[in-house]
Amino acid sequence: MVQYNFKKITVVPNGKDFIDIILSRTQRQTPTVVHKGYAISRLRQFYMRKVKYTQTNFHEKLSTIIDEFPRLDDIHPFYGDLLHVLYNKDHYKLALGQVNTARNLISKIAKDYVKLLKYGDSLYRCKCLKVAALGRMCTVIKRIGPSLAYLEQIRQHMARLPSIDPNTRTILICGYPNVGKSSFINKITRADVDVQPYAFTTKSLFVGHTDYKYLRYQVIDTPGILDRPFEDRNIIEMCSITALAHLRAAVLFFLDISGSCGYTIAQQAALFHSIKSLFMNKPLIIVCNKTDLQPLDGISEEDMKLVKEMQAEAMKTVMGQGGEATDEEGVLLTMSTLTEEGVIAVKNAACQRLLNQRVELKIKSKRMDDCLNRLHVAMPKPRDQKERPICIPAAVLEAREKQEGEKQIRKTEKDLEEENGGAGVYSASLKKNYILANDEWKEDIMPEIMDGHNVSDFIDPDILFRLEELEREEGFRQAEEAKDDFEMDGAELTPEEQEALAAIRRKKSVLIQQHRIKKSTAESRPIVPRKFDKDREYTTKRMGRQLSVLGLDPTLAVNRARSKSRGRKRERSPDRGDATGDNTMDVDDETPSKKLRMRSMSMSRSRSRSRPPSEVTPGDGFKDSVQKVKALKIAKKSVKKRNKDARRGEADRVIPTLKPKHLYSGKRSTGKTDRR
Amino acid sequence: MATRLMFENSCEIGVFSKLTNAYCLVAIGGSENFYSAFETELRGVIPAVKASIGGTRIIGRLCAGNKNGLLVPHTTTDQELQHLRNSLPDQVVIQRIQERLSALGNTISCNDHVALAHTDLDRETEDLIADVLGVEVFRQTVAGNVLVGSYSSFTNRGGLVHPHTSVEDLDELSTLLQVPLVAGTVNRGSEVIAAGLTANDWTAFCGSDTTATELSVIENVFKLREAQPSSIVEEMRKSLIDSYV
Repeated sequence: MVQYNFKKITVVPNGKDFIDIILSRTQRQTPTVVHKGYAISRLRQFYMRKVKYTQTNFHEKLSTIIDEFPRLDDIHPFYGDLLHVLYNKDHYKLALGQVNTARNLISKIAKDYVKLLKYGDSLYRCKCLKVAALGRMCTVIKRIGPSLAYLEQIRQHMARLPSIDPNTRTILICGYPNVGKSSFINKITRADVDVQPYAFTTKSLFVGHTDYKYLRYQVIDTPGILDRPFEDRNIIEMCSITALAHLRAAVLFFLDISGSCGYTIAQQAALFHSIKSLFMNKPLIIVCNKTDLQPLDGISEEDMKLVKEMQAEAMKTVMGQGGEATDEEGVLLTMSTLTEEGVIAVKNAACQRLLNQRVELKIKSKRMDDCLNRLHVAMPKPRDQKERPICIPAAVLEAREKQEGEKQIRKTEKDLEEENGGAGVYSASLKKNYILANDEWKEDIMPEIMDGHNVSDFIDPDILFRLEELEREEGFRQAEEAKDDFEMDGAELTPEEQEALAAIRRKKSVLIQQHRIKKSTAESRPIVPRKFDKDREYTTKRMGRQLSVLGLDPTLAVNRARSKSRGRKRERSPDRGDATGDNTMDVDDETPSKKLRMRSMSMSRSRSRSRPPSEVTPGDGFKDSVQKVKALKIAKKSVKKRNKDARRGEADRVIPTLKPKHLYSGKRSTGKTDRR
Repeated sequence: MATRLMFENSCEIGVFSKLTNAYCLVAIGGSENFYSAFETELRGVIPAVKASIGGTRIIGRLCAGNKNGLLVPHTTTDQELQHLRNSLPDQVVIQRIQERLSALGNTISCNDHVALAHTDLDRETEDLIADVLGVEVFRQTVAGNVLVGSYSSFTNRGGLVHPHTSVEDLDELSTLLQVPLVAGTVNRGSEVIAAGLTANDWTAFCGSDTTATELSVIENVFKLREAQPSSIVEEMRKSLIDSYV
């Protein structure tokens, strides 16, 4: 649905401001520096750009104006006519038309001058052409100055129009000036329209909203209408007429039966008859106002006749919409806005009749079928004998009984929050409302993890019983432990033992110190297990020394260690039989090495070609050789030793030569720091 | 009485709360406004409990329950479960269930006697619903939607379902559930009924966007404030037609 909001139209600057805005933008957003010496094509391009840019800006600005102002033919006829009444359609269209022409003119000017600029042969010529182009554009705008001023005025006025939705449920209040229309809208809505005891207090349309049967109704207060020919009516009256003519609304025709407004009932009846064509197909109610001054029964015979006539006329509209002619009470109503007597009745009657009319129309429409299911209440058919009672606690029923009696004020969390520093400061305890056997347990802290286990996994229904059992057992054990406790004491050691203990401690402290020194100097060097003996501490010599200190003969141990050590390569070679002097247990003396011996014994026939490792044999459990190769690779990798002894490897950083000769010799000339 | 309220500028209050006849779960918010709205309305008759499930605040969509029990999804932490056990009355059975469709509030809709369930729920879950909540379970759809928990909301007195539910479906569902049903909306035309509304046998809460017409339909069908569902087709008919068409 179209929303009519005229508040968002952008401001229309007046002619002078308009020019300033555009020219300063051109100045700011196009290049400004140009020299005589530039190539002529560059000069032309420079000025063409300025002309074109100015033109686009003008075009853009003028287009927004043209697009944003509503087109009177396209909007709802109510707004179309209202705008016509207020601003004069011709004038409005003319102004917009002028803006449109200006836009076209400017485009044409720009086109012409860009063409001329193509033939500009010097900086001076080009500049003159640019100045002329911009000047002519500005003149065009200056000429439409009055139109722009007019549009700006209209914009300001339109922004203040009430937002009337022409399609919603609407109640229109109309009648002579000063009959109490505005007091009525003030009574039933919160519109707060100015009420004064003179005619034409209300000079334009006012909107208020009221509720009836869960729906919202838009109530429109119109200025008073005088009974005179259509052509003589002023703008204020025409607003009312427009609203009456175009809004599909319930119409309340106000009648001042006391005549205190300055017009007799006869005059008001005449007005009614002159504008009754506007009430066609609308629910119409004649409201006799100011009954506090003059009750309806007390008016004169002929006035009564006029009122009855109007009522009969209003009844026709009822029948015109197909309503039954019997509901007379909804057509002529009396009220007094001063005493508020009958005000609500009038509102309800108007709303109800409008609703009836709208519903009747809507029931016939196609869209009704789509929402029929929403007007259906499915009542259950009994399917078994089972009782399904409702569940309302007794406390709720009790509270409902005494309802208004005394509603005790509870202190809510919100109140507590306010008292304790407001949201974000106050933090309510979640444990406050726990329902536990003992209130003291509320704030107890539950362990979540214990000995690497989730406590919750061990919670059983019979946990308390088990706890008791455990506690009993614990108590038993403690009692037992109390019987036989013993202690270790330094006082019971013999002198030798004491000496040994001191030695151990001394050694320990030395080790700790050594370790610390190592750590402080070695920084990030890897920690290597002792067996690799990086620092060459664990030598045979040291072993001998230590054994001697202990009073043992180290020779045997030293010899054995020597024999175990891997000798020089030459000593290990198979040619030197004497290297394996100790190995003489072997029977066959001619074959010193096991490897050689094995080979020679199996060399009787030529060896068949061995299988390549990647070949798959049945029973290997591999799908294909690719898989086997992969498996072998993984296997090899797995047995590969990690570099635990921190040997130097290919991945380590290495500087082959710290001071390469070619970089440190010879003279340095410019740019020769890395290669000479 | 139906109350309109908001949870931190969101009208989807059914997402952040769970109301049953025996307890009310409320999400932990930045301020106490939401919680206090429940507190004042329930007047301490049933406990209103601030809770989270799986560290989230969308508790209304994650759990399902009635006065007999409460089903929570497997995402619930042990601490949250303990908190719920401590806060709810002893007669309410709390059960954590291993179900793939873990937004139980969206997949299960129930009152104290019957439950509608998502068509793809496990058999074990169905058994658990029947045992823990003490209800008959029906696998059903609401207006072609499998998420019965999102698109319907009913108590022991009446229920509101997705606005596109056909008249035949309404009658069938109503006979299954043995409560009067109406197709309607909440929160100014929102179809996710259970997200905008949470109700029990004597009170209801809905999002602040709910219009007067929607609110009165809710009050009528849930029989709050001596209203009767039949009034929807009688007194309110015209207002409803005018607002729907």
